[in-house]
Amino acid sequence: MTYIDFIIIACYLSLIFGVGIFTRNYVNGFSDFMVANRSVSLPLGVVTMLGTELGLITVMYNAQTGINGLFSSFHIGLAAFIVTLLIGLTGFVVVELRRLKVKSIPEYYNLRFGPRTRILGAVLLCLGGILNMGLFLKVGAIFIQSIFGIDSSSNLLTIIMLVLLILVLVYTISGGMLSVIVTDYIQYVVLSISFILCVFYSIKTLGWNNIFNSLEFIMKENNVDYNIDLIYNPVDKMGGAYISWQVVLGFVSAVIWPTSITRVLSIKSTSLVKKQYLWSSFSFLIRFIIPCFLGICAFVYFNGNTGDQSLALMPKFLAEILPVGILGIVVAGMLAAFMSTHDSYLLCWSTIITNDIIEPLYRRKISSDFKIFLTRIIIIILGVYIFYWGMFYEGSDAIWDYLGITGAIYFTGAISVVVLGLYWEKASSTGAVLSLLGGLSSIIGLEPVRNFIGLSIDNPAVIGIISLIFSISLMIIGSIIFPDKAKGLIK
Amino acid sequence: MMIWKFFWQALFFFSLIMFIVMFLKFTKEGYNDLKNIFRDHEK
Repeated sequence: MTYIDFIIIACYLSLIFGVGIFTRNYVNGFSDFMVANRSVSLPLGVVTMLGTELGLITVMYNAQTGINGLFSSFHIGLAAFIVTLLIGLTGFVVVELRRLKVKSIPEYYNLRFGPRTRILGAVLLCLGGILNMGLFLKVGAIFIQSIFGIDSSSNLLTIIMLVLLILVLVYTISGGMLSVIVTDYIQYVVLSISFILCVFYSIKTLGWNNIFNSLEFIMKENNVDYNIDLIYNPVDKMGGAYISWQVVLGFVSAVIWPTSITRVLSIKSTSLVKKQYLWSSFSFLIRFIIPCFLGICAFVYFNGNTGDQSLALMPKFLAEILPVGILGIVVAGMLAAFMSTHDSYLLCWSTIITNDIIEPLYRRKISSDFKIFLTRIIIIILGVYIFYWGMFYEGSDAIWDYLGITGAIYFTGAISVVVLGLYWEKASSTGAVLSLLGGLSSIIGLEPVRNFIGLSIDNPAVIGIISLIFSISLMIIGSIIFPDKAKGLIK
Repeated sequence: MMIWKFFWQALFFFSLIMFIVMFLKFTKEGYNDLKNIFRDHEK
């Protein structure tokens, strides 16, 4: 990396920092801070959704998934695409949620099942979500370390991560959702250009046909009995349980995950929701396929020698093939992606803690200014947590599996509570509470927990599916045995 | 094997084309909308 690359990166980081400070003047109340006063249009809705969902973490774990699963891992993007497209065509769940004008999923719980479900749902949502983002900084650190060639034991790495984290904290605290939308837009533009350049240089360096021929040759060379079909066929490579789990994750990513649904709740009108999902279905496809492809290219470039560093392979590959200047743009784009995910996640969890846990527990209306103040304090606390957790967590699960399982603590219960709450009149608050608590069972899927209880299982997706079925059963049984006296608080 | 191989290749190019289309469409429209948001806030 040359000084030209460093100048490009420094200019970009300065621009983002300036925007965060600038948008501070445009925050007029908590609704502005949390959902940009529902002023987001379709293009901005799509752009910011992609800006959030296509973070550096996504790029890194999908590249890792591509290295581990090769072309068969493309099925994850296909599943997400089909599920999101169907939601866009039907408006399933999302149109109803937007129509209710809630600011978050727990606020919907409150409307449908009452405050008890709201608080419990918000606590589990934050638990799953905050654990989920715990590894973001670590993954970002691996990217920086690999692309800059920094020694992993160096203190410089910690300092760089700390500086990046402080930058994110400052502009998220300053501007809230409006700041997130503006920076997501800039980051979308920079990241899109970076991605197109990465794909172009990858194909130019390796050659299109050579990628496939080399991949087949490498797999055969490493193991003469290797079945080439496993490179491409997801059913043979991953199995039915894994693919089913990806369909669930596709639905969750699009509908249940708070950072996505916040975009729906921020959009101008109910009529735009379906359109947003139709366009976003392509975003969900792109965010898997292109990083997976870059991971596969890295695998081919290094002749399949991943060692135990499958996460570091893609950034090392980019550092070797990209010319001067282009590398600076790509690193700026990736850092943009790193920050766009952090700002959205920090804002999402902190506003939910304020809006759906602290305020209901306080039992009195908290002023808009004090809510913003509380949210800013929580953002700082979350920043300290992700710095600590990212540096010290010792699990070795693939990042995608870690994210799936930690997220499942929240979403396995939330799927039945949201979907059945909207479409099944007999769904009761007791059933909802039982279902949310049932979702906690998926924590068993985490590697340190599995090791602690002595559970030997190769595929954490199986635990996720069992946990989902368990939660849905609890929702149905609980609702039938303990029905609410006042059926359906909302119609 | 060949069916999957060609299917993933087609899907990759479809993704790339959609990515470029979305980039061109939403970069321009998003910029105009951002300007409108700030103008409305100033009012």
